[in-house]
Amino acid sequence: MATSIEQSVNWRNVTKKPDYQVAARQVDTFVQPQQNTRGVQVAKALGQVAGDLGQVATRKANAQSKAEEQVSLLE
Amino acid sequence: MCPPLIAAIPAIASAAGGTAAAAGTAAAGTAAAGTAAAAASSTASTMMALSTIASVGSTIMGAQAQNDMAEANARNANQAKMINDQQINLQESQLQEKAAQEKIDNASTSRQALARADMAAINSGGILNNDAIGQSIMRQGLVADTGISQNLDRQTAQLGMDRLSNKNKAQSRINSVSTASNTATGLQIAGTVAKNYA
Repeated sequence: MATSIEQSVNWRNVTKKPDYQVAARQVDTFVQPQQNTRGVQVAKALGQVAGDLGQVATRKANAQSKAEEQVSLLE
Repeated sequence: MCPPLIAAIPAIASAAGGTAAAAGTAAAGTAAAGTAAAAASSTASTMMALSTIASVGSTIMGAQAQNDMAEANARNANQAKMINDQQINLQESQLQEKAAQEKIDNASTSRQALARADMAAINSGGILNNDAIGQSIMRQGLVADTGISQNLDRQTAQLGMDRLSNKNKAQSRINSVSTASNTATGLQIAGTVAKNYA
């Protein structure tokens, strides 16, 4: 039977402090902005409408010139 | 509705109108010229109307499909975020459980050592007035507990960053698909109608 503290218990190393654990790691926090926003859609649509109206204007101008040509021929 | 089919409708209508016009031209000078021209004109008008309807339908269906896609995309992004959050929560609870278990083991070891030291001191008669050995054992236990807590805190802080990343990733996914603009859809329809009828 041990009769001294040293023999009974290793009191200098009872518990071990855990190692320092580095938990930080890089994370991606980038937020992608909204794609194809309503403004972009409206802009595209306006471009398309402009083209359509341009076609209408050309057609009307051609018809008018043709009518004028026919009138001049009749005269 | 098949988009290529919708796209082909104006061309088909145009070709049909051209054919009808050619037929009307060929029939000119005959007794049936007036009737043929009227029929061709009627056919062209009908085809133009069908073309317009198909084009408008295509625009509306396209906008509806875009809205449906945006809704499904947002729903899936939220669902993925929820599952990722659940995984992070699971990891956090397991880390907390691990730290708590370590602290329990640490406390048990310290108390056992302390009791053994006390018994040895009593048996040997070497009792110190200041209880230096007991205090050392307690201090070691506290230092170990502090280390466990600090590690857990660092891991918990990192999990908070993971949650932030998860949230931003979901937002990016939602932003990648947008809903249709009613204004843009209306403009496209108006343009189509103007082109066909003005």
